[in-house]
Amino acid sequence: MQRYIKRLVLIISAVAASVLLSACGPITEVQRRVVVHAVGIDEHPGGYEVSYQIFSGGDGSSGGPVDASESTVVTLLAQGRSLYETEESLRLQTGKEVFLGDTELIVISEDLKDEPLDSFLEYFRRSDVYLGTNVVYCRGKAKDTIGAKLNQNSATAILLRGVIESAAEAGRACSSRIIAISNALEADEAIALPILTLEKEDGEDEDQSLTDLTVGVFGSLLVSGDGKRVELDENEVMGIRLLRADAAEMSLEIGIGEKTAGVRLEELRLARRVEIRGGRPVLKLTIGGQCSVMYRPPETEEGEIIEAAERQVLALCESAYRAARDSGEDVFSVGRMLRKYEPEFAEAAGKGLKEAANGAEIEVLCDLSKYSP
Amino acid sequence: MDGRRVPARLPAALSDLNEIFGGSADLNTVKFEVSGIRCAVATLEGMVKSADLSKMLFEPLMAYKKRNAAPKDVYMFLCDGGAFSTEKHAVMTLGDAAQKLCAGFAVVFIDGCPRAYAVSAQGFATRSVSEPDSEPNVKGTREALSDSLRTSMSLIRRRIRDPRLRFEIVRAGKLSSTELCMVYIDGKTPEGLRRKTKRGLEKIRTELILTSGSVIPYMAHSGGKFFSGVSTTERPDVVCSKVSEGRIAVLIDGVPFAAVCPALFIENFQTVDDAADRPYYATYLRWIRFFAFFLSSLLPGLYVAAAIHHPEVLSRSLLLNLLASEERTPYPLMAEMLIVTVMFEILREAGIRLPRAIGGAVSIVGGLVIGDAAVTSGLISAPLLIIIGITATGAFCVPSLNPQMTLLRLGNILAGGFFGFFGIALLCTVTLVGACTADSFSVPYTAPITPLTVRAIKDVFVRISPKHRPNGGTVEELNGVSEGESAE
Amino acid sequence: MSGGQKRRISAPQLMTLFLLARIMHAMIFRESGFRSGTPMMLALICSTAVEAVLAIPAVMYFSCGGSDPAAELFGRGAVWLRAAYSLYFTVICGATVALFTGFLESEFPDITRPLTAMALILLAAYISAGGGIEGLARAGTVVFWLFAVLFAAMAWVNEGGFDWLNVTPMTRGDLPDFVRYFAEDISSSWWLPMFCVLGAYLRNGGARAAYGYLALKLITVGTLILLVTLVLWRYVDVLGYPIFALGAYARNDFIQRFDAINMFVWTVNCVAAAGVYIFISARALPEKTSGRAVMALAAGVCALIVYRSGLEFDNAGFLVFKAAGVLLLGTVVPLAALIVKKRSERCKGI
Repeated sequence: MQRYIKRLVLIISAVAASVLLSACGPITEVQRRVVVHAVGIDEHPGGYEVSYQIFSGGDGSSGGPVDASESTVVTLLAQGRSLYETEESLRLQTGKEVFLGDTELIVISEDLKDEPLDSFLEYFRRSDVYLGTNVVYCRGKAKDTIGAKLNQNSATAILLRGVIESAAEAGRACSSRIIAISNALEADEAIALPILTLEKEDGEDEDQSLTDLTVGVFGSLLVSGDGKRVELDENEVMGIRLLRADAAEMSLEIGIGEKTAGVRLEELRLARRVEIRGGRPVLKLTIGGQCSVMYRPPETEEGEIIEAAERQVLALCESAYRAARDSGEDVFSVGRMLRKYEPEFAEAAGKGLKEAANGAEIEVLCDLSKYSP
Repeated sequence: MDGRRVPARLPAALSDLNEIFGGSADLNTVKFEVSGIRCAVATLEGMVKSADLSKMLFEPLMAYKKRNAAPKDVYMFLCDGGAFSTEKHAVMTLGDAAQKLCAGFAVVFIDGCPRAYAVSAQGFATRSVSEPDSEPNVKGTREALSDSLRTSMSLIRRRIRDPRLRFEIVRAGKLSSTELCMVYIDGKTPEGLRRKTKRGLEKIRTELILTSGSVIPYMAHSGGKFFSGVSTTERPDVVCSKVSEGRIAVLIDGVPFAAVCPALFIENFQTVDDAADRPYYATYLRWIRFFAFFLSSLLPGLYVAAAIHHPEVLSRSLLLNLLASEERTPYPLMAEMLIVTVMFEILREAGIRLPRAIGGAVSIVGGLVIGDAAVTSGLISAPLLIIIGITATGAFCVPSLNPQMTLLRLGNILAGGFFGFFGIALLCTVTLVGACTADSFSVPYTAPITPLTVRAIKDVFVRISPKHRPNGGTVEELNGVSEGESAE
Repeated sequence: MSGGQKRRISAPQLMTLFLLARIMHAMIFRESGFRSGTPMMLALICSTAVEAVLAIPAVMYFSCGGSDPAAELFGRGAVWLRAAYSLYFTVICGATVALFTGFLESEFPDITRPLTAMALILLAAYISAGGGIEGLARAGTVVFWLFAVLFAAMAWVNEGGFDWLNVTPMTRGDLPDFVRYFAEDISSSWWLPMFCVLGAYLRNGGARAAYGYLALKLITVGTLILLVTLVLWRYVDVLGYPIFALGAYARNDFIQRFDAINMFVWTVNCVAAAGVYIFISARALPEKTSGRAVMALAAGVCALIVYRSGLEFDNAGFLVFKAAGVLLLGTVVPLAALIVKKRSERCKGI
């Protein structure tokens, strides 16, 4: 019995000591946290101006479910020499701990496009920020994009993320997650980041108010580790996605003579192979998939549509190849393909692998003969 | 026990008996003559049925006529069937006589005869066979074990009409001298288990045995501080089912519950209705019970831990709702959760202890009035009250594990509040190892999950139709049962 | 290590205990400049093959009916050898707890202070070890399934895709990485000394436990490395803990992030593994002493030293200590015991 009492006293003392010790540490109640949905980074003299879109749901006394909507988000601005300082500034403004775990989107102003991306990623590559968070550039000020009152809703992080995902689904934007960017830069590859554009809707009066704004992805910025930046149009981005095996589906508008048809490419597959020909790498790619017709001009044959779609795909690849070659960057993971399929060549190339990859010729075949009317 | 022989002289015998009982008011003696021999019948008030005694004993004795009868003749008359009772014993000592009287016998003393004769005429008032209140069911029997040991035995015998069913009586309790009855099936129950249980029961040193709690510590052979390797039931059908699986049940006179050992953790999730329902539905309900157990033990702790330490785990809408509702409550979340949990326990306890009619009112006052007022006044957040509501309801799904669930819930709130998932993980591990360490008579408490017994695990997560398992199985067949220990 | 104890655990249970210890090591494995890929996978295959060879003496010894290699060599006392086992596992226990605390501190800094975390883990492990090896082995099986379910769930809801370009053939340039990983994996094979101690409790199937474990280890750790390589590639280096990183890229509508849930399972595993180490360490002390408490305290001191000195499992000194333990206590001792046993049996035969 005495043994049990001793043991009990020991356990209780240990638990009590632990509890008392832990009480010395900081316990942050959930209401003492400020939940950040989106972060916008702008240039500021001597540092950055960061706009934080945060949750401000009031006291919930109105009842009913609460979500991040127009009425529950606000955008706060914080300035600092570094992103850490801006976070501290936000903490002081709100008197709460900053919680970045719910961040859906990081928007960087195009004014900052020449700054190394790593300087921003360094801050966000931490365990409390989800590694699938999207990083995008925007035209103009990031704070305008984050805090915009759009005609349908506030530019909440969820809405902006939806815009980016829709663009990606349509093939007009590449994956811009922190992990993808990080891995691409680490592999000495370039990656295309979407550019969010805030613009006024067409056909409205001159004196329209701010709420007539809309947001979309109308281009991308090719970013590499060594600071090169090349703007890409939609076609080039689509080509890059095709050549990087980054698209499973894609919508295209194709011309058949004078007329146009709409097709959706589905189940897209890319077979990649690299071989060394004449001391230079040659990338051999075969794109396969199924072509579904969305709309077609009357009296057009199935074969005509497929041929036109294939031509269009090859044209997209061609434009992407040209853009990549002009940028001097490895956009299509040629370096990694050389390491995988031609390891001896890659080893011999050593640090010159990037140049070798950029000088690679590309041969593309396209077969969309699986047709779905 | 008084070992003095029964005095041959009647006045001395009665006087000694009176001395043993210390002049207790409930000791009745009736003196009369049988063929000129002075006799006396001693009984304890309320322990015998007068009408039965009259028919069984007095009428035959009064009818007995013999010239020049000697005391021995009257005694022999009783022994040779003069008394109609089914249970009759010769009594040689005064201590034996006292014990028989306490057991509800009538003891006949004959002047000039140095022995007495005990005739069973128990007729004390007992509760009739009632419904099993603590283990209600839909499709099973409506009979519960009785306070009377004999009635309980008959309820079991009626369900297992096989001569291999054994009832073995052991007396325990220094003062109460309570009859404990070991129930088992010869040939199915390991001999070692029977012997160890009996040895355990014989070791009982307590003075009174008024609940099964006085017996269980002597039955639990080893291991397990938090979980018990002995279960209790008030259902005769459950006792029969367990006994048929090679276990031992112990019935206690005066207690309408049987203690069954060895008990397994998974049995807490099986009910009598499982056997009555369609297998797929019974399987579904069984999973619901598993889920309810974990929900009830862990949910409040996980909620507190996630909200305070790991908000990134919560989905956005849940986090935002939580944040909005917590914004207006005055207390820290953990304190709030503790307050509501303790409040719930108070209400539950009040509901159990109060008469049923008032108990219902307490639930209404607690659940509706206090709960609603607390949320409206902003003392407690609505999501938290929902969590406690779900938790409390979940706890009712597995009543046999309610004590464990209650303590785990409290522990998890503290551990989660102070140390987040880390604290809960520590507590869970200690609990898990505790459950895995527990065994009863070398049968692991966590069998057949761990150690795994493939043929038995089927009946854990799904309800196997009796068509596929006509003979069932015994606990001895489970893996991990130490060889040579349970069956020694 | 008395030879008279009852043989209470089965081969699969022992196998699970080995695997949990190995997974624990994989979980807290942290290396700057971490490169998951082919060299690591090849190193794993090679080290597993070498482990299979190193395990032969112990497997043969237990298959021949041996129960206690230390007692076989030096009789019932064998104080120094027992103390060596005890010391080895006390250090392993301390290091495991310290490195796990390091993980908690870096990934969940707000939970508690490192010292409190270490004390709590050791307290829980001490209590768990009190149930004996049976309880730990049974609980270990549940923990293994918990880990398997979590792993499957994380893989199911992982948002990353497989990029097969991440798997590249090994080149000469990868040789240093290969050698390093091979050395690390071999030195982490303390299941061999564990086997020599816990084999005494094994009902039967020593070979099944040893080789079953190696097969399971190859599959489990190999799958983990492959998944990390295919899904995360270089990003693992950013997050530090490879397996933790795998969970960091998983989410669904109910659970936004798996980090904390991952930590939950790791903690359970850490306590179970530390409990086994404390149990093994305590066996060296006479039964009448409070062996477990002493060893838990000793492990606490070790943990403190490792934590304060910032040592990692891949530290050169640590590598040598671990590898020496594996070779001496896991291979040489059972080999010598086997020779002694065979010789004594031959003498009896004569």
